[in-house]
Amino acid sequence: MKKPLSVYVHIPFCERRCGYCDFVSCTALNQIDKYLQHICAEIKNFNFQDYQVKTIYLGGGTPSLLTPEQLETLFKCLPPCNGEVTIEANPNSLTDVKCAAYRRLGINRISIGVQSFDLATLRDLGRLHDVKQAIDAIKTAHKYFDNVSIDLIKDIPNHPFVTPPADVLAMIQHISIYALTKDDHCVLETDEPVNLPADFIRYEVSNYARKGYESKHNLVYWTGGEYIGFGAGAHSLLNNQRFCNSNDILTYHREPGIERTPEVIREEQIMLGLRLRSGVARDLLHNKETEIKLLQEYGLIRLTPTNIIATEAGLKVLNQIWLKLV
Amino acid sequence: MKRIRNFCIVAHIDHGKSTLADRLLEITGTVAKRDMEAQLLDSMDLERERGITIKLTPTRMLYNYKGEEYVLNLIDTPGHVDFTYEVSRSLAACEGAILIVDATQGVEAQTLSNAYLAIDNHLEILPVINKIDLPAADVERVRTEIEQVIGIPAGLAPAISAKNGTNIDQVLEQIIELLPAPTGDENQPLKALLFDCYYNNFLGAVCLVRLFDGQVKVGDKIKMLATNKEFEVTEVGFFTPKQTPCEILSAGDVGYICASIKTVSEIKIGDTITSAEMPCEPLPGYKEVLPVVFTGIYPIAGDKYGELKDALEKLKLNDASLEFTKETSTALGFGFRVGFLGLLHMEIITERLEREFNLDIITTAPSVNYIVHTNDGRTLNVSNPSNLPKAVEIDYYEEPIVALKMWTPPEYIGALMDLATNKRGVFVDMQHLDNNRTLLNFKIPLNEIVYDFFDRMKSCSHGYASLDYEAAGYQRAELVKMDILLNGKICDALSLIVHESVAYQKGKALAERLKDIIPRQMFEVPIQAAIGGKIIARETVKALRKDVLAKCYGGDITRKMKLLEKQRAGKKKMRMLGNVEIPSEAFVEILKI
Repeated sequence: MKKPLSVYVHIPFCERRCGYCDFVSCTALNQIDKYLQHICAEIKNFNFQDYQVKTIYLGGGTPSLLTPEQLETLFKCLPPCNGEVTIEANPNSLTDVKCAAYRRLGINRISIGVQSFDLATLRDLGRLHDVKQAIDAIKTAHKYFDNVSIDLIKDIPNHPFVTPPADVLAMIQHISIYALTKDDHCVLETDEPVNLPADFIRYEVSNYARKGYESKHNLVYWTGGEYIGFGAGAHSLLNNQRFCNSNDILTYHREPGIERTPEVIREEQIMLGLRLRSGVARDLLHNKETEIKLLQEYGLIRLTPTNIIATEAGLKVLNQIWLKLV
Repeated sequence: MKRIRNFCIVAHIDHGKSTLADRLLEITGTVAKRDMEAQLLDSMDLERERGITIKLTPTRMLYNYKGEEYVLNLIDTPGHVDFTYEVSRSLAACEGAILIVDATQGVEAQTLSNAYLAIDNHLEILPVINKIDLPAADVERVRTEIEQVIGIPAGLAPAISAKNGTNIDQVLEQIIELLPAPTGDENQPLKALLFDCYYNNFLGAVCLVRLFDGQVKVGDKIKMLATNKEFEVTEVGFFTPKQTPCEILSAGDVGYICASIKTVSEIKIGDTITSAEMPCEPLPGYKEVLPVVFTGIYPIAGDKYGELKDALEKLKLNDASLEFTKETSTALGFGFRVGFLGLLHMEIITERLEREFNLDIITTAPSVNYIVHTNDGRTLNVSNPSNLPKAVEIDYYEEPIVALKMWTPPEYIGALMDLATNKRGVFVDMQHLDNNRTLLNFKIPLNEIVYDFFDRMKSCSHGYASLDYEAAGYQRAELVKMDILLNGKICDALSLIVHESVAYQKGKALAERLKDIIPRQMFEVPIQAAIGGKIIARETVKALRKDVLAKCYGGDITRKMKLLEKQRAGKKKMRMLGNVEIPSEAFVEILKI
């Protein structure tokens, strides 16, 4: 019996770097081929024999900057996958030709970095596309994919969150909406409400999907499944060890891993579970009856016979809830 | 005895006392230059960091002058108003004092008060003008100032740079030529002044003494006159500054006596040590030192109570003036009510608890000792607001008053008058000491100056004013107990005793301050100030709107966990009061009202 595994491939190249993004990225596009050589060697070096690859995710950076030929080189090294295969794309580098190539290579899901439907916001974020280009890219993707996701950013000071227009919503199945944060930790006062049609279910604190279109790859991260990351700065969880590659794009190497103690596993499970619509198994919580009762009284969590689940109000203060429960 | 000189150095803070002491040790060869650690006498880290001396360390130096070897005993003294009594006992062990005055600053408040303390103890004063290496030095002006303000001749005062070692030999020469040698009779029964002590793990309490009459050696039976306790001497010696045992100490000597005394609490600073067989008359000037400022000290983590107790006991081994008793607070659990000589003393102790013993502690509002008269004729001493009887049972309160002296350049008189009057000070009189310096005398309730008075005085005089105070009895006062309610529940650790006239204003300010200090929580927290059952102020800490990690993709879970870990570490500094989390510094912050 082969173990399930998810594969992440990091493509760190961008036409321009965005201030809010903390993934490894660079603008030296002439290094792409060299990088691909390095990453292919890394992938070939990994023994997939005991694994069944369930999902593949090409993230960045901007994977859509790769030409179909470059992408083909990469896919030749990747193991076969019978499940969800996602690529991230930027509106200004997505074309019909590329979409067709993605389908040919087995990619069945696309995630477009729209970020906003407000032109001023796009400008201030330093994005290279405008609203029309974003909508055109979605239209293009929609022709080739029945599983389209977009990324949006909210809670940007002085920039109102603009809900995707209805015609856009009709073409997509999944939306990730990230609150802009300082130092990864949301304490900014802004907290804009998100109003999406009811068929977009908030299955994770920042993610909304139509039924059956939840990101299977991301769910692996959030439910403690095993994954291997290739490329600069990529993270992995394998054999109960979390490890990552260093950030130097052409010379990166795997950093030593850390074995998770049962306590770390438990605390991670609580943190991740609280973010999910499915919640946290109550048997992970020890002697927390008083805290659970208090949180419930304040309407921050609700209980099912087996789980505790953060309410809408609770999702805003998940850190505080976590601190109470561990 | 003719070749002994016992002296101390007194100065205003930062005028160079410790630096001069270092130079004396170096030039007399007591400490080789290579072993010099800057300001050797201030041996505690904390003291060195603050540049102030707290503990007295007497050091014997040998100096060859005109072919004769002299024994110079330097007794270092603390320089803060909290420790005035200890200073006075050290001075009583000397015949002379070197008075250091900064050539750029001139005579300052502490210079004056220390000089007067030395004069009161009949010491010969040897003025020395320091820091002549600085460009702003004005030696002649300072000479005149010493003569006019303090009233002692300063024409011969050596002008030195302790830092660079300039003219230190002149100081040594004057110590020998101008300071009197001790008098006394070594054939009389032992009469020694116990002017300090410290704790040694192997020897127990080590008594630092100045012998006025008689002799003492190993095996002698000694008696402490104030406590009436007897001990057998196990070791005598002196400091070089290392502890160096010797055979005998005689009249005129400064040194130490060990006598299997288990803790420093068994002895009293200022006591007279004499022979158990042939006791002498006690030396004058002994006083029981009582703490004046009290505070509750609690561990942030309730299970650290035992560790806190051990730490306080260890500190007490070395600090007889530290007092503590068990106390419980419904809000904070088990802790201690600790008495201090003053706020500096309190700060030193709390800082040492945190640094040396690695304890996270909460300090509640410092309080003074009130005398409470009840309707049924009882008289209670109360230093913890939680221990007050019910308001209806109280007839009246008395609060401690101090005589406050502030020295200031004339341009700040108005601001300082306002400050003291706002703090319920009563103006007594004003003396113009010279063109640049005025002395303001006030009677003021002690509890009005225990917290931030010193800082406020400094800020409204641009740092030029200085102060000193001494106890001046008790006085009837219209006081009330003010409670703070968090989320509707009284938090006893935040209760205060305040003057009726400022209660409303304080309650309002306190509620506002707490609102700023208490971080937003998952739910709204009402803060109320109440006197009796009456709410006099209310504020609300709004609920947190958002506290959540950003996107959790890309698989980097470790980093998210680290962020939460950081937040969790911050939480550990928080104290739960009911359902409300309060940062531990809140307890001190609120006092700045």
